[in-house]
Amino acid sequence: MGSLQWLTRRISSPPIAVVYGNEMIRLMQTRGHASPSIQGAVEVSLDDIGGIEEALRMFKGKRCVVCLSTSDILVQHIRVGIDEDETSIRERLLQHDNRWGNAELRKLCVKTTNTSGVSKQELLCVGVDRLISQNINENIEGAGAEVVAITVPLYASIRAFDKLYRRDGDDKMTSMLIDMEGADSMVMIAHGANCVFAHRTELEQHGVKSEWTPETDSFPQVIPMPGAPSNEFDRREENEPRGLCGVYTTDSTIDTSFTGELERCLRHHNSLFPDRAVDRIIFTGTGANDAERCSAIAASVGIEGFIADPSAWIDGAAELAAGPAWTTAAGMCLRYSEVAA
Amino acid sequence: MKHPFDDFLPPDFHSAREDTRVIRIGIVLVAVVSIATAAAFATTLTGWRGLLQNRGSVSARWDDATTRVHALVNAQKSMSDAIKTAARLEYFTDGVPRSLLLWELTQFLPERSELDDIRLETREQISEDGSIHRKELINILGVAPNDASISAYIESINSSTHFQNVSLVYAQQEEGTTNRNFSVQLEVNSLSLFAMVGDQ
Repeated sequence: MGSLQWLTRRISSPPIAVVYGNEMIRLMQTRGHASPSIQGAVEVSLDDIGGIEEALRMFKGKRCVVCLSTSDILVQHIRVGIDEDETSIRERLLQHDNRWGNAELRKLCVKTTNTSGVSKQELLCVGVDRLISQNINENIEGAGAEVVAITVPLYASIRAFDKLYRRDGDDKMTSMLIDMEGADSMVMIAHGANCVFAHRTELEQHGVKSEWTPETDSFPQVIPMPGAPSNEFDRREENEPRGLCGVYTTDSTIDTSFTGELERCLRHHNSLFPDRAVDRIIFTGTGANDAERCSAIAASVGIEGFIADPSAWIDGAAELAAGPAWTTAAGMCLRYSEVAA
Repeated sequence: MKHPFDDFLPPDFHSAREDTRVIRIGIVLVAVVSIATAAAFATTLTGWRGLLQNRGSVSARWDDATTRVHALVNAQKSMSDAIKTAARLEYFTDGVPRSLLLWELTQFLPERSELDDIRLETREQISEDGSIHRKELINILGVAPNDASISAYIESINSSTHFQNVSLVYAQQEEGTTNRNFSVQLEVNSLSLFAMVGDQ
């Protein structure tokens, strides 16, 4: 049966990435594995069932990978014994939030420690309510598609930048990704392409820009973090890695509670990995369309900021799906076409 | 490599979907195999039906041929019997009509002569090649007034187309009279009839 699945995936087109936002659903599909190009990208209102059905017909194949919105997922870091089983882990999680009881749990060990002979592990636990995934599955399959996987933005967004970490030493780069989608934001910290920290937080909504306009007339300001290696990008001889656009210093102010959350995230990361400082912040999601706001956030935490534009890695995406709002969709397309290959 | 965050669908959902897919594939395979079997059966049945029809046709022809062979054998047997009968009848039939022979023999008889006995004897001679030659010999016993009459009679017979190889067996004085008893042997010319018919 595994061979049949492999054969099916090889023959069929890459899956359609379906990203649930707060108000919109973004659908994107690429073709080709080595150098992907855009097959189609479209935005549909969340409550427009007919529109979703019509949009799905635009793409090749029926296989979909769905990414839930940030508000639908549970994220929690816990430190447990090295031999803790899933039941005890779930019990620990239930102490934080009782929604973990009916959640499909996935966990990732980000660090193991050994203090005074006791081995412990830091787990990044991510959960999705089974009822929500079931409803979404029914909605998508009701629109005539087949859901092959359901994933979460914190994973899908990081996958969009996999191509930044192909060379030796790229895994030493520490990036903070902030996926700003509506009122909820997902803060992630990745070592190279590996996510080691995630936290969901609320962001104060004030006039989010719906369209993204890249500003390329000036250089981004690099604000080095204390203790961070300042020459990390020297070998690249450029300030803007492919797929990232620098943000500029502004006089904008940002909600201090949000920056406080970010600083707590950084402190958590520093406590886990004291020898690794965050080198850059990458803004994704609809909220990242507001470059001034991103700039203010970057300035407030004192780290070089970039706005994601994953269309750089997908031929033809600049016209259809440019900007940070498409980061998650692009990451899913890149990741799942790679899995299919 | 599979990442833990790749998929949040429950494993039992995938296994249920896998089961459904296997069932569907199984149903399709069963349907395909059933259709193929039915098609093969129908094709074979059609072939068998054609074969049965051909067998019926061959059987009818065989019966007809058997009947005709029997008829031919019967006909051949009848023909053979008829040939045998004809051969047997031929054995008994005369080459030249006896009445004609008797008329010829009495017609040539000289005056004051008479015939006492006429005997016809048929002889068969088998040659080296197996063919049978039939020969009809006539022996005549008679009384004539003198030898000249006997000689004239022999010459007359000899001049007839119906007889050949005429020879005098004996001629002797009859006791107490002047007449002479004689015996003549002659052979019937079987081709004479055709010659006579041809002459006519």
